[in-house]
Amino acid sequence: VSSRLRWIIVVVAVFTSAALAAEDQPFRSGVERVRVDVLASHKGEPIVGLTGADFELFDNGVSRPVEVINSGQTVGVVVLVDVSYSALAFGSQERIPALVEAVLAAAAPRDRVALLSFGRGVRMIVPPTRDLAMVSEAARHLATLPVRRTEATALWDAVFYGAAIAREAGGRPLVAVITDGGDNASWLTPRQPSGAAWTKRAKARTIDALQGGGVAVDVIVRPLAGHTSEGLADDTYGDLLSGEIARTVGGEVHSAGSKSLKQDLAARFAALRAGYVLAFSTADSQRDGKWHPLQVRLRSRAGTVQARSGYFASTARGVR
Amino acid sequence: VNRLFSRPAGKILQSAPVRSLRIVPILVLTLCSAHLHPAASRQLGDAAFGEILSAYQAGRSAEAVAAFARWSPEKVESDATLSSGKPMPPWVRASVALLHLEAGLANDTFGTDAANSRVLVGTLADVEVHARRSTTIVNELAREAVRTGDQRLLAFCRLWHITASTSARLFQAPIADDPVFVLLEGRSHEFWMGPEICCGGLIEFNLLTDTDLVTRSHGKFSAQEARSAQASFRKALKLDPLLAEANLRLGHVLYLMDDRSGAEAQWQVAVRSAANRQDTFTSYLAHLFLARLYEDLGRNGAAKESYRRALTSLHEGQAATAGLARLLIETGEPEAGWSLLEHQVGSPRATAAVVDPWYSYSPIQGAWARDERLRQLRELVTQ
Repeated sequence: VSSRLRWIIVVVAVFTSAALAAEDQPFRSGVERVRVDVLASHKGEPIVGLTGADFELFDNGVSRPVEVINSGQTVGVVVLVDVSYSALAFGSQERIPALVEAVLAAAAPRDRVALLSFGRGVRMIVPPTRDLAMVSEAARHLATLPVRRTEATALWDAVFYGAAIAREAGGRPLVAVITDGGDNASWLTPRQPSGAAWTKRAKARTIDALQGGGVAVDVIVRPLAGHTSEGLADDTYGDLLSGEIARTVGGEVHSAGSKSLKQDLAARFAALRAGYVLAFSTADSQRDGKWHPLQVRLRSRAGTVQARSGYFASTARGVR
Repeated sequence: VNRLFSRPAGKILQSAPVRSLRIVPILVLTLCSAHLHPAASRQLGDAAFGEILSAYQAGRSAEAVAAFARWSPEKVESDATLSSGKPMPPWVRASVALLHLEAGLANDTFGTDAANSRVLVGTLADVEVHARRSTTIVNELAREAVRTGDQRLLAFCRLWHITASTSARLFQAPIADDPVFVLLEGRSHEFWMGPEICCGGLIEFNLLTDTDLVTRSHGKFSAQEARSAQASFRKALKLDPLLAEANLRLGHVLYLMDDRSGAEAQWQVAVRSAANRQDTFTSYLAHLFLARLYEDLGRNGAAKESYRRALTSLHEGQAATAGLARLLIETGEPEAGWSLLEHQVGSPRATAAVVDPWYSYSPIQGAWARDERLRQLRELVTQ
């Protein structure tokens, strides 16, 4: 019974995540490929060992050949810790080890975990390893770093680097960002006033690239002193919400203060292990900026597939 | 050091690359000096300022800075030695100014205001004691250097001001018509013209009260600050046509004002001038900015080439690596892009503490290669 319950939790977690992503923030297409996270099950149990040939995918009613670019089983995790001034100041620095521990607690023995820090640039602290004790020790060291006013936050750049390391870590790649959410230094998406078209395009390009890489990005938000994670949406940092990255690449946002953080992360990891990442290519003519409904089902075998209901096509034509 | 001063004074602005091997002889000299100095075995603890300064000048800089940094602002303010007003030789005063700078940086308070606000906008009178005292000293030294024609002292003052960059305070040139100080004034205006650079929240707040805003494709900007920045950079270039960073920053302002051809021309000049002066900071950023411009224009081949040239200037450049990787992923070379990123942070050399110049472009982000600059300043005052 408990096994069945765990599986239900996993299904609900993935389905909810996908649905929220589709509603809150349109799933953008990659310039070259569209990524779709799916769960395949039969009578409540996950189906393992599927290949692209086992899936049928319809993009706007048109059948598209798919490939499985990742099939879970293990998770390659990059824990990306914000060590910028705002993230370390105001007494929040000592919370870093506990938050890293929460991620490590969700990792299975076969998962590989890397620890990176970022502020003005990204630093590899611990390369991908199964030695979680080493990661814990390094996280404790991060809590003792000197706080520097000039340590700005290149969040988007750091996520991009984290994604590259997660891809190399093996298994289903996940970047878990521990941050207070504000970016003020990235090259990929320079700080701009809300709504500037140039900024939107820069962000869309970065998200497209992240999606093309098949990397999930979760954010564990450590609000600034005096803020709740929800309150960040209304503060002066506006569009620099950490959650923006996660939602637009199908990730999840967790509150560092949540009492269920460990359980939430455990369910998240379980969902990543049980799922598949499918990818299909789009032609230039399909990049119309419109909503494309998706249907995914199993070919020639019993079972059901849970996937997001569609995506917004990119308008980036001829970039390739 | 001799090589440093064999150049025209304006060239001191060049951003010296981090040359770790050069540190070795300095370390050896420092250790020998500390060993031979009669006060080497004494702990500075609650030492008087004179003793701290002696230790600093003798090469025991880390110990001296740590001791001085422990002083409370009130003690620094009231210390008779520091406030006596007795005439001191210029290079002793330069040592005092540098010691103040290092102590303020060690405490991470340098450039804040006396009320400990994190980002200072007010005047020098409001600044915390280390910044106020040392800025006053260095500005006096700059005027003295002009009066006496002491180019070495003037070079110290320029480098000191560049290294002391930590806040959004408007820079006020201590002397007129000096290319480096005019450039630093322009950099202040560039910072305040709009939110493209770090600390956008602060600038957006400032823009709320600005009645002379212009809207460009990158957002809203203060027209007055943009004009002032351009005027300063052009003036700096008139004073020193080879001041590559002025071309770089003028190009950046023009780019934000949607003058792409003007920006491209300035950055190309910056590339050439920076190459002549081995100015890594400017060379890297000029290529980086050109890459972004070419991306905007859809000239992906040229953009990739510019990113690669930026990385030739500075292999550790994380911004250029990220930009090139994204472009590779977008243009059908995803594995090359991801591999580039992975190599940049995963390789052993990535552990070196080299900050990408883009992350130090704004004055509030601190000087690029600050440790190297401090080392150069220490060399100057211990000559």
